[in-house]
Amino acid sequence: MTTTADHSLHAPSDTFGSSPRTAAHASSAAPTVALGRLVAVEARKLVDTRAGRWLLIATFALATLTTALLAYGSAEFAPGKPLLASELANTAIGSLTVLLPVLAIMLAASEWTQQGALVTFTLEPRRLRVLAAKVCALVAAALVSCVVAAGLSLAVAGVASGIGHQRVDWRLDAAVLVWSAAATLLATLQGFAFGALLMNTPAAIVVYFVTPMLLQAVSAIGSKVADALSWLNTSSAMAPIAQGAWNDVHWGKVAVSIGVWVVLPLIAGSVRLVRREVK
Amino acid sequence: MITVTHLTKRYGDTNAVNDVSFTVKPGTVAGFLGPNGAGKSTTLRAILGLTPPTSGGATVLGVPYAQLPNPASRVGSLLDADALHPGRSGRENLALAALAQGVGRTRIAEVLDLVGLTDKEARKRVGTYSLGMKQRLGIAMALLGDPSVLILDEPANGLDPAGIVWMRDLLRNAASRGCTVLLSSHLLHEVEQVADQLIIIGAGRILADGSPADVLGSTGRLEDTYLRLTATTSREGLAS
Repeated sequence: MTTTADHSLHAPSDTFGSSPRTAAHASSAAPTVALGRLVAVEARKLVDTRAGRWLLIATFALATLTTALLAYGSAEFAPGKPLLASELANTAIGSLTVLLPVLAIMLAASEWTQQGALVTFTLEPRRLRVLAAKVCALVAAALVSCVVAAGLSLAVAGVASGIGHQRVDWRLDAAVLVWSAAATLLATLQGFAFGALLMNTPAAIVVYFVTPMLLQAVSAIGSKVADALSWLNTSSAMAPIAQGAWNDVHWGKVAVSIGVWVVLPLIAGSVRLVRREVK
Repeated sequence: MITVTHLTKRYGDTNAVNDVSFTVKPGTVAGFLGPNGAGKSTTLRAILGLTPPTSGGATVLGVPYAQLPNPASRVGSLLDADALHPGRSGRENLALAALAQGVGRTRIAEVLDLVGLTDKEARKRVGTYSLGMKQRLGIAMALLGDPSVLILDEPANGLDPAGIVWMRDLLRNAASRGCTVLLSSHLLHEVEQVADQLIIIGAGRILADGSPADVLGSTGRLEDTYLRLTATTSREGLAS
């Protein structure tokens, strides 16, 4: 980069104002760092890096693409049936589970992998507060993303209807969409928990995607193993509930999965966070 | 006011910082000197609550840093100019810090102007910055909240001669307005010109602490005194 040959450096006296320092804090800064402002900072961190922006673009591109493919497939292979807007919205929201967790991992771990921790924890030394702010920002972002994805799917349906002259059934099944959003939110929180525990972006991404594959492979050993492991499979545990099967066992499985994949890593990650040295 | 009291930090079986105590009063520029690995950075990190001490502690403005409300607006610090996300712009880093501290947006333009970063440069990603630019951004971030304490680890690192002179004026000006300034540096000639207090550390222990007159004594030259005091603790000293 160019050197600072013609930078005009202003006189240092400008920065400190004309009045001498008193014991009381003389600047215009706020008295404390409110949690709301911390959440705003963390929400901003989701979109203010090059990597974050591209990830979000890819996420919504994927949502649009999967919806468009579904609409096209429906038109091609089932031309008589109307396009179900609810099904499109569900697909769009479901597609978020692929990339939103990566965004969550980045929010949790990039302080350590990309070295923002020094600034973050001098701005707010109470580290658990920062963690809580990240979770809040993420929950808000996940819910907003679900709404945006649903909106994109409806736009696709609109295009299919307008240009493709497809018949569209615009009725939206609220229960199904809410469960889809809940599943997306859980996946995102799980990503965050892994990132918080491992404090390393690439490692957390690998573990997040490999773990379900490993569980699948191990389940193939036999039905008893598969049954035991079903207690650790969040999505398969949630599916029957989404379809209306309100069985205690199913709820138990959801609780155990969430406990193991979200709550435990978050607790362990919190302990690591509080103890870790920031270099 | 910065007060360090019997600070000790142990890694494994060695004490990186060994029973270190000193005080820096308001209106003072204190130069914190020592060979590489002497414990300067560890001490500064302990003061800012980034490294938990094994025993002892430090207070800034009378309380441990972590207990200060909105600490970064009262205590400006720059420990590692590289410690920034390369994908974020300089301006965005300042915006995040300003948002957290509750500082107005106009202040961002002020500090950028002060450290000599143009608006165009500020909008580029930190990953594209030279060392000097990152250093300037770090100083801008430290000054954002108009702090009354400055804790800087090698602030002149990467600055060109004009920048070094500017830094010297900045620090002297800050002290004359009642700020407490603690800086670590390897530029002995610079420190000689700007410091009211010299703290020399070697192998985790304080070797000297006082006004330049007290520390340098009759020889008067910082380089000689420094090399003599740290002879047994620096790499060159250990090798001979």
